[in-house]
Amino acid sequence: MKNTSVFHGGVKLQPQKVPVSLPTARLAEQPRYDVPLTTRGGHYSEPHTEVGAYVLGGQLIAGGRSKVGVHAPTSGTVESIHTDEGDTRIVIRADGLQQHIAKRSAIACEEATLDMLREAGLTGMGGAGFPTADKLQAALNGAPKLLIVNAVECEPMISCDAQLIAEDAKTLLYGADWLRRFVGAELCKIVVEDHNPASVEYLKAAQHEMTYSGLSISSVPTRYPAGSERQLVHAITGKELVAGARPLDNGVLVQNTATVHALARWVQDGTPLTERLVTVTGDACSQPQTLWCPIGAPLSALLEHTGVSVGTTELFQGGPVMGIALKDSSGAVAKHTQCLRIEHQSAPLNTLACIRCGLCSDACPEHLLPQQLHWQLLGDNLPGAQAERLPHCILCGCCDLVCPSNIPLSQQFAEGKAALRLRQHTEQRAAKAKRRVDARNVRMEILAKEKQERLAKRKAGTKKTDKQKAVAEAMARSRAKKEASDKANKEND
Amino acid sequence: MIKATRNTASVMNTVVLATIPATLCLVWFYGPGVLLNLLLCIFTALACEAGVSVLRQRPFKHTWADRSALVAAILLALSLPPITPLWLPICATAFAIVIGKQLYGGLGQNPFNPAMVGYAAALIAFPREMSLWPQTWGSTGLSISELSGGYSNLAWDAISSATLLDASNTALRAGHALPSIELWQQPASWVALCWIIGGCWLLYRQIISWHIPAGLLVSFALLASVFYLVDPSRYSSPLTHLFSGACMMAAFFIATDPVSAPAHRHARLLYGACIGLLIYVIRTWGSFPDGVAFAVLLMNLAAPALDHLWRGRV
Repeated sequence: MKNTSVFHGGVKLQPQKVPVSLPTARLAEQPRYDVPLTTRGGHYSEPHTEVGAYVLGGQLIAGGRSKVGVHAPTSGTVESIHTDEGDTRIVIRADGLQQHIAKRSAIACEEATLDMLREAGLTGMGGAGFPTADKLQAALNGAPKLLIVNAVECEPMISCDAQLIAEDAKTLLYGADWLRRFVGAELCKIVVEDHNPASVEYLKAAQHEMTYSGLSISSVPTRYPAGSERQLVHAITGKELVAGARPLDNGVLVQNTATVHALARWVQDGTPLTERLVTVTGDACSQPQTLWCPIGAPLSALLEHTGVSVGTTELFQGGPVMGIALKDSSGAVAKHTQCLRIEHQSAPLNTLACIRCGLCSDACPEHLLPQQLHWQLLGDNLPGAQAERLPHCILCGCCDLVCPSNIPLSQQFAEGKAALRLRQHTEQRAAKAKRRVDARNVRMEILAKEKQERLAKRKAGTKKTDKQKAVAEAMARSRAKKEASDKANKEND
Repeated sequence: MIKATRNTASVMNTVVLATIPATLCLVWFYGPGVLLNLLLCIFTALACEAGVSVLRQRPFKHTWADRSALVAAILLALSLPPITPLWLPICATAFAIVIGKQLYGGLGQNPFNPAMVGYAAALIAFPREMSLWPQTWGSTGLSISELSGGYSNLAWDAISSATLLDASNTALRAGHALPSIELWQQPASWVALCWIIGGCWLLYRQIISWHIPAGLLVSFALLASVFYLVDPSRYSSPLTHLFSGACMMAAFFIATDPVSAPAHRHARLLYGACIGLLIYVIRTWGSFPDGVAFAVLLMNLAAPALDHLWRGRV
């Protein structure tokens, strides 16, 4: 185990991890679950069930085959299917019996198909929420040589992966080996951050027992954002991805630990993804911990479980760097919910003007010049921002962390990226429409030309048909004959 | 919330602290006039900031809190001659803050280094007053009361004398041999040393990056070496050039002002190199004793173009 080369920039942060404690806590059975049907990236799964239907835990209630499967977390009746701000949820009233669908035997990786994985309801559990089957489809086409199981968790405070490794490293290794063979990679590396030697020990102990071939455990130096795909591939392979490239372009597939674990459980006995580990922490949380939560469990139940002091608190989903503020605790645990943070209200930071000190460009892991992006976006100059390579920003928030003027840069960049995408979309549509109109004009022109030609031909044709010629000749002949006979008559007279 | 410990005010505070060695050195050689300049400049700068803030209907506490006016005032004060009439620092600072900074929109918006705007304006408007550099404090025999009150009664030529740079320039033009002053004998060398100490501290604290000072000093020294090697009787040695005038101050404190410098590190190297080149050219063949202010202002003009040339991929 050696420290490999490190990517450009980044920020050294105090891990402040929630300590791992065994056995893992589990959220008590809830009377009601709000199971979301849309992934973070907006992939929507059509519901299969009806209001009033009785469902078992693990039963498919939405999606499947072509869309990400969504499963009931426990047995109960479907109370309602409602849409709120474009977010559709199936509400299940639990009956408290906790009946689950029957288990099945393990599936070999030769028999498995992408549709089966899709039905298992797997999405990226590291925060992005991208459908795993779609990613693996690209991986099968790209033929990766190396599979990286990402247990880096570079965001401070979050310790879902560490907890998972402590509890069930064996299943994780099983999943990693299965996935490696499924995508046809030669090697598999499970990567953790070097502040966390305990995880390495758990993994090594499990590997000692299982002895999978082609599987190794390595660590990267603690430096945010080491867990970001592109930076992780750079740190592990020593080769930096060119701007805009995906890990697959370098023959690497990166999968999140929790996703691989969920995959392993489904492979082993058909258990679909209906629960995940969530770290609940923050300075207003009296018992910070990582616990198993069913997908769809109300966030308020998590707060209750971890003894949140009432008062003026702010709620965030995600870690202290990339987390987003929530309005209230009315939401539910989703497949990408890693962390719930409850903080005492802090005074808003006083934002000053940019002094172009350049700390942000020193910290940017993507070699961007955030201060230049800031000026371009401040002037609403989207082409300028694009020239400064705004689309390559990974929104890691390193620039926010180091900015002495407290400018919310990554928020501005996220908005800029969205505006740029919208603009490109509009431009593409306009270009498409223009192509359509141009094609139509050309078509109409050709038609008009053909018509003209036809008319001209017909006009020319009327003068010169043989029949008419013959008629004219005959008429001329008869006229001549008549003239001749008239002449003869006159002469006879 | 995780947040870096450094904020704009602390950056500025560090710069202020880094000017202390040079300030002490200037006071040691040139007397309390330096402190008087400092007081006048700081007071004028804060007053101007407050005044503009009131006009722009912004709370001036915020403007003061970022300390940027303080830094500009200190750098301007330390570049003014120490026995200059009282109104000069006031005029120069007011011009620097109001015209050079606030009219462009305040902190972060100014295309030019405000201190150099003030200095250049004063140099062009009041060339005589701007050249009042005493050989050393002891040689003037002035008291602080004489300095502040009876300036018009003094015979300036009697107390002020040309700096080494001035003397070299004059000699060069007149075709005489260069003055034979040892480096350690002129105060400017010791002041330059103090600027280096302050600059190294800024580098160590990562307030400035090495690119601009390195570009500036290397190009400046190279150019000076080339001409010295060509004709040592007509051109001063590179060491004399480096340790005379405001070269070191420019390298570490003036050219490194990030607001008016380009962003990319390659652009910064070139930016520094061009400033070094311009300083040498203006110093050697221009009519002004030193070229720092004009060199920096000219390259400030070029910074947006450099930003346009180097994008991303730091």
